[in-house]
Amino acid sequence: MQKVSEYIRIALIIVILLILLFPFFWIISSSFKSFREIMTMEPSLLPREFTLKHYEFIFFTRYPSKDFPQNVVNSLIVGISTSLIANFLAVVGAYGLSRYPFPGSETFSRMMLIVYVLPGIPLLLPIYSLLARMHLTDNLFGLILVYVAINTPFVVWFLKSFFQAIPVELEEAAKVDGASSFRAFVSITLPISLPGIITTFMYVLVTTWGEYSLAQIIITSDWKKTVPLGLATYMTDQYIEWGPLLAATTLVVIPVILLFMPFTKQFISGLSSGALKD
Amino acid sequence: MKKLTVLLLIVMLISIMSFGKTTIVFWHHESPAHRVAAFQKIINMFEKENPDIKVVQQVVPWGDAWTKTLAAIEAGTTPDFQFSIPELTITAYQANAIIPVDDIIQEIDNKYQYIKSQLAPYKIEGKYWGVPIWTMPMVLIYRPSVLEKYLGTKEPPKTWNELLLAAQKITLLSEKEGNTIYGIGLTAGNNLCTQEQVYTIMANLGVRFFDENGNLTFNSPETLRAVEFFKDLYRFSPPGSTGWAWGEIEMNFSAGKIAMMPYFGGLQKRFYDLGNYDLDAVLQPYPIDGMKGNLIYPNDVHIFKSAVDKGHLEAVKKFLVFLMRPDVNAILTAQMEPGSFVPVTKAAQESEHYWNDPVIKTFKHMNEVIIEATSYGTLYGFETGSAVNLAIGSISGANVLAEMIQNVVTGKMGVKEAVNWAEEKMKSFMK
Amino acid sequence: MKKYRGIIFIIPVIILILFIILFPIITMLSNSFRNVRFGFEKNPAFVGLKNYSELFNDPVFISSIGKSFLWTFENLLIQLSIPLFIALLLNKDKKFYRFVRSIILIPWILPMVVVSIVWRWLLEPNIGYVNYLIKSFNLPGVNFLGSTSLTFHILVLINSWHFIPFGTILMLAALSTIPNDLYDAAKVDGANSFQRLVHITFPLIGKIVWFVGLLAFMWSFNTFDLIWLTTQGGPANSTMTMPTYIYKLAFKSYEAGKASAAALVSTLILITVAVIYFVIFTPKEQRRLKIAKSQ
Repeated sequence: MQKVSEYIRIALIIVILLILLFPFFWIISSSFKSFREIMTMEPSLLPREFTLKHYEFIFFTRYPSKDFPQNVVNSLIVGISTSLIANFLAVVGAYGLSRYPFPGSETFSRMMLIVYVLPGIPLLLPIYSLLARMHLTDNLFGLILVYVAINTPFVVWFLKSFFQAIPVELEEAAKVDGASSFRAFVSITLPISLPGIITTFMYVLVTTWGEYSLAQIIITSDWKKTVPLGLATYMTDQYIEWGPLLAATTLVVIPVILLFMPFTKQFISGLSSGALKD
Repeated sequence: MKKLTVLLLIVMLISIMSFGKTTIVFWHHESPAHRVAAFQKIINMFEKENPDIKVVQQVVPWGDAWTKTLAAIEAGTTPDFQFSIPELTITAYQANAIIPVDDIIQEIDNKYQYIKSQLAPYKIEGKYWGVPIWTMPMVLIYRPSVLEKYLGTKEPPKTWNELLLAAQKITLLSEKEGNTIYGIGLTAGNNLCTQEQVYTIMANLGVRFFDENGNLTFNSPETLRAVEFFKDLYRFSPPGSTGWAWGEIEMNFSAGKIAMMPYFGGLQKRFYDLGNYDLDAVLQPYPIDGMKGNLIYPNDVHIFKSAVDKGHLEAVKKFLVFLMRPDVNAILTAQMEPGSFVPVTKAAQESEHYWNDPVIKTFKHMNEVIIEATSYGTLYGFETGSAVNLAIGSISGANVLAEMIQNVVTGKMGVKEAVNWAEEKMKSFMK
Repeated sequence: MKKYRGIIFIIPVIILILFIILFPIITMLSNSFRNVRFGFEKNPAFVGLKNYSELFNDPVFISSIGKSFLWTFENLLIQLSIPLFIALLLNKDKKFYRFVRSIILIPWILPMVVVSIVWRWLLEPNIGYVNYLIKSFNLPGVNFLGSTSLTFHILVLINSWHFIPFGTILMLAALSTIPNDLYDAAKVDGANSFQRLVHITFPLIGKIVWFVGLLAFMWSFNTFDLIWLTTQGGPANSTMTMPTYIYKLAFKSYEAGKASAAALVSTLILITVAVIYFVIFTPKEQRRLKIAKSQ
């Protein structure tokens, strides 16, 4: 009986995976199809005219304005820095809000969310002109700064509820043992809230990794472009370079998944140790 | 003291050296690899001939051109000059960010003779604000083999009636065989592609958006008739084209699902790359009581005021005149996007550099038709020979024409109602 | 002074917000009352509520509000139920499940610029793979992205498809906060898995589900890229939600003043929803602990 339900469960998961991952499968498969196949033949699951040309192209035909490896490096720099800074600031902030509540701190933390819900579009021009005044346009640091500003409030709000859910008694116990309150927080609460922090880290990383609107307005120089900007150069109105676009997209997924693998593992260990078991 | 003198000398030396070499930066919106490569080739040629000038290209995809231009103007971070189309130049003009270019146009005209109609969209208040570089006329492109199979002749339709009949015949006959080829490819997506196609049909009846004084004259019997014809023709266009843009229509045409369509000639490069030569073009068919006519999208360069402030103007002028030299212009047109990008000077149109390009040569007849179409082309809002009403920037940007067509083909509005709606919408931008 | 000690920790975040967010918002607010077309005019004329009155006289704007709510509602429905379902399936610590948890993230990692163009290709009626499959069963092709009735819902599905992986991770994090001994105790008491789900899982993760719901609401309401890159609000405005409408005003027809006004309306709607949420669901932080302790 136990076994049967396990099989049903696995079968269900596989069906779900098939549906969710099909578009990605299509991207991978088509990235090996020849230009002729993509443009003129009936669609098929697997390539009929297998070619590695598109991969060759994105690695070796590098123009100043079409430099995919450089795009990936830029995106990694921006994504990881943003995520680290935003999470650091947010852990500190959320710690303050949850452990030293002050009159109005609850309202305050909710205001954080309001920052997050602002519609981005009409803010594009003002943000750009602000950065221009600080001479930070066309600058990866300028982009990181904006991303941090946009993401941190949300992370604070998210982490604060995580910290609050953890009984203060645990820290109190450590304090009795002689640890300072911050030390107690770092050694007790932080490890327990790791699933939360990893979630926000991943969240910030991926949203900045795929963010287009702000990046396109802030970055102009081709060698500073992030992945979405680089990909956009393959799909101009009247000429979609399907092959390179799909090959690049396939490769874009790899570094992120690689980054996630160890984190998901940690995330799991957070789960298995029973995050909130007393 | 001595040290200071040495330091000063070094500083002066460096500043003289960097002063001697001018770096000019421009934006263009042609991101495909072969277009970027063509630009780089030209830059290298220019730098070789002018060692004191360094030229930098920066690619801003078309979809972002407007936001980036507005942002750069607002913040004072514009490049020296930018490739553009009339609407974008008008926007930059309204933002008071660009300079008149009459002298450059004069110089190029003296040397290489501009096709005069191509200057029209850039004339505002008696001055020119954009230097035409290349132009993009629409023609009716078709697959000769499909015409031969279903119409019994390779001869393409010449009139509206013939076009409608041919589209119908091809669609119905091929449908019977179980592998439908749609007679005509028309998009009705909410985008520029749709506007270009519908305007090509309007041009056959001489539709004018404005009169000489800039008054709106859109809602006319001619417009109604053109939209009516689009609607008739649309019945033989592939399903789903209400969701299309360029990408989809090109894939459908390349896959052989479409027999004919009003379009740019640029597909010839893809056909050439695929080794498929089943492609030709004819001037857009017109009604017997109408006229030859088609959309033409001129592309220009406008120069930002920042170029003057930085003392880059002379270098920019030099580069622009260089761009128009027939051998260089052939790279910009024939190599960059053969059939789509067409020279705008007599000298370049007749130049052997253009006609000896392998792709241009392969589709020689098609390209002769395309060159012919440059003389019949007009652009919405500029029919009278100059930019008479600057609201055309918003009208085109907000896709009023495309939305009108969507309202018609989805059955949301009748033709008359939709044209009325479009006229009202246009009026709202003229306040 | 000690009372306000917590503020010190949050000061960096406050400075950041003041710098990067507040200035643009003030610009937006001020623009909404001025005659601004492009957004770069110096000292544009004050026009009072003109932008707002024009806005509320535009039927497309009015319908975009409704569209946005419908959009959010449909997205929420899918984005809350399916991730919870998948999370319950994956909530096991075995190699296979761990592996699935990693690769299931892929749709979420794919940049929206690519997602939209690939879906456009897959769903194209004549050359797309999905219709190719449908037709191979001798069924008529479907006009997925060019239909005034269907396209809206198709875009909801694509948007949800993109979000489901992250939603699943959030739900898994929620499930992880439930102490295992609760289940053990229930098992001892003879509760079957369905009873355990209803009596332990649902009540305990309730708060987090609502929390995810609030986030999904904000995200969905502000969805822009996907719609713009597939239909630009068409066909015939059938997918014109508020963000799409705002973008079109600001950067396509150059009515920055009106766009700012519309953005303000949209912000007010979101703030209202957030406030309602907080009024209804506070403060229940301690509830979960109490339950846990009473066991």
